[in-house]
Formats: sequence, structure tokens, C-alpha cells
Amino acid sequence: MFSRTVDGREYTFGVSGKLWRNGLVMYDHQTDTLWSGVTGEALQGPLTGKHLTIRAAVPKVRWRDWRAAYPHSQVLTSHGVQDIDEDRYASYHASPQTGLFLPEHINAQLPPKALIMGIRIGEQARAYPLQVFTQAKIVTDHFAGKDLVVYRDAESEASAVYERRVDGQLLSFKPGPMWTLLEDTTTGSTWDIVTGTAVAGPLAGKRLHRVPHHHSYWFAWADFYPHTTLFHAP
Amino acid sequence: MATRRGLLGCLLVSGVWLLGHGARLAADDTAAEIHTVLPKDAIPAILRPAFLPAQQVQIAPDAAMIGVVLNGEAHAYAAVLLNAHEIVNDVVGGEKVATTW
Repeated sequence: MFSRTVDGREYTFGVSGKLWRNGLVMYDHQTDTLWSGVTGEALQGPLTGKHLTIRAAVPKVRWRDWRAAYPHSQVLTSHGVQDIDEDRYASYHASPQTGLFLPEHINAQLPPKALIMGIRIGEQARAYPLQVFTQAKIVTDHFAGKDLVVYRDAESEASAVYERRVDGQLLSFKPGPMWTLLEDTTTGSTWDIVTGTAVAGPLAGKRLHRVPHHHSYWFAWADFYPHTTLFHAP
Repeated sequence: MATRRGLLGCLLVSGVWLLGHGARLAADDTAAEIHTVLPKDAIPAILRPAFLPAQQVQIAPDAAMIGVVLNGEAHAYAAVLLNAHEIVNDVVGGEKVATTW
């Protein structure tokens, strides 16, 4: 989820009908600048060089899990959509096709349509195959000089990536009592994975530094980030 | 009522490969990497989202949702809606944001 405010001005975005590296390209109504819907960077037009700030993760979860965790949530209604039950991309996801355009960079370490969680820190990129999380919900990693905890719950499809050092203390994590919670075995505190804030225990009120991540097909991630590394379970 | 199925969806389903001649220019030439697939606004972004409280909506329990939480406020969008509109311009937790999928 990107901020729509750039240099103090508000922008609204439409679908340009263009693709950049097989990803959505947005345009803003105010200047007609083209923006990558994946990275938030301005690609072409008056605001080229600017980028949209990522303000929050956008986890995909099942309705019943979201409603249980956020009973006061507002929900977007079927505004202008005739048939809410069809997924127009269902056949694409089920097929071996990889986008409209051949990737420029092909990395054969994984099958092209393997799903991964991808992160970027500075100029470095790293991919975590979802396959890894069938064995464990939590993966600990060291990447780009950061100690990370990477979480994915296959049941709810919730996911999060955080730096696991707080006030200089390195925390180890295990899954909590529900999909929104992790527990650190270092202090016994309980952490909300959506906000990264400790909600109970000695570190209550502390906040983990979130690392934004995308879910992606491997072929698309490796094309965007040809230099990406790939996480392998130890 | 026929379901709206945009050109982009049809292209993906029918496996049309659009290898524009000259599209493979220098890898760092951003402008050359932008391919036009549909007219502008062929897929309508949502500009004025309308919401209902979670307790009032009728959605299948296993329906895929995209959720966001910002400054204590939670919004959820059905994944099929984001597939149809691609972008929601919204205000969450007092901040002007755009959710893409």
C-alpha cells in the first residue's frame, strides 16, 4: 500500500493499461506520470525520479481469519463489479504461462511459477520460496546486514518480515496462539504480526522494524531483480 | 448478467505473446520496457471506495481478502475486486493511500 502524498501534494491513480516488466503501471490523474505499481517508482513523465512511500503491508488472508482479527474492519463492497465470485485470473494462475512478455533474465534455480516472498534491502534482493514454509512457519535469516524473522502461515496465508533486533537485543520467535500473533522465546513477549507491535509481555509497546515484502512468481521476481539471492532451508 | 472480462484477462488466458519488435533495447532504458497492452482506464481503478462494517457484509468465509492496517484502522478488499479494478485509492487511518494488487 503506497502513500498517495508526494512532496506534500495528494495524487490519485488510475490503471494506465501498460506493463513494465510484466507489472502494473499506474498513472496519476494530476500529472499523467507513469508509476510502477510494484516498486512505487515514477517511470516516465513530469515526476520521474520520485517514488511512492510504502506505508503498510497488504497481506492476503481468508475473510474469516481477517474478520476474527479485525472485527471493526471496514470492508470494500462490490462497487461497480457485476460478479463478485469470479476470479478473472484463475486460469492464468493455473497455467504454466509466465506473463505477456518473455522475461529478460531467466533464473532456473526454481520453477518459473514457484511462488516466493521477496524482499529488498538497499540494492540487495532475496526470495523465500513458499515451499519452505510448509515445514515451518518461521524462518530466521541474516541478509544485507540485518537479522530477520520471516513468517508465513500457510493456513491463513498471512505473512510478515521483520528485523528481529529490538533495542540491540536479538529475539527468537515461535508461532503464537493465532495467525496474527508471534511469541518471542527470548523475553516471552507476544507480537502482533500486522503492526509489528508487542501487545503483551516485557517488551509490550515495542515495535519491530518491518521489511516490506511482495508475493510473486519466481520468474517475475528474478526478472525484476536478476541479482536476487534465494533462501535455502538449512 | 455477463461478467466483465477485460482484454488483459483474455490475453493472459489465450496465451498471446506480444514480443514487440525493438522492445529488447538496452536493459536500462526504462521507456523502452513499458509496453502498452490496453487503453488507459480500460481497467477502472476505484476512486471513491464505499465500505460496510465487517459485521454487516456477506462474504464467503474462505474468500480471499486483501487487508491493510494503518494507524489502528483496518480495511479489507475482496481479492476478486482488486483483480477487477487493480487499484483502490483510499484513506486509511487518516492517510491517503493506494492499494494495488
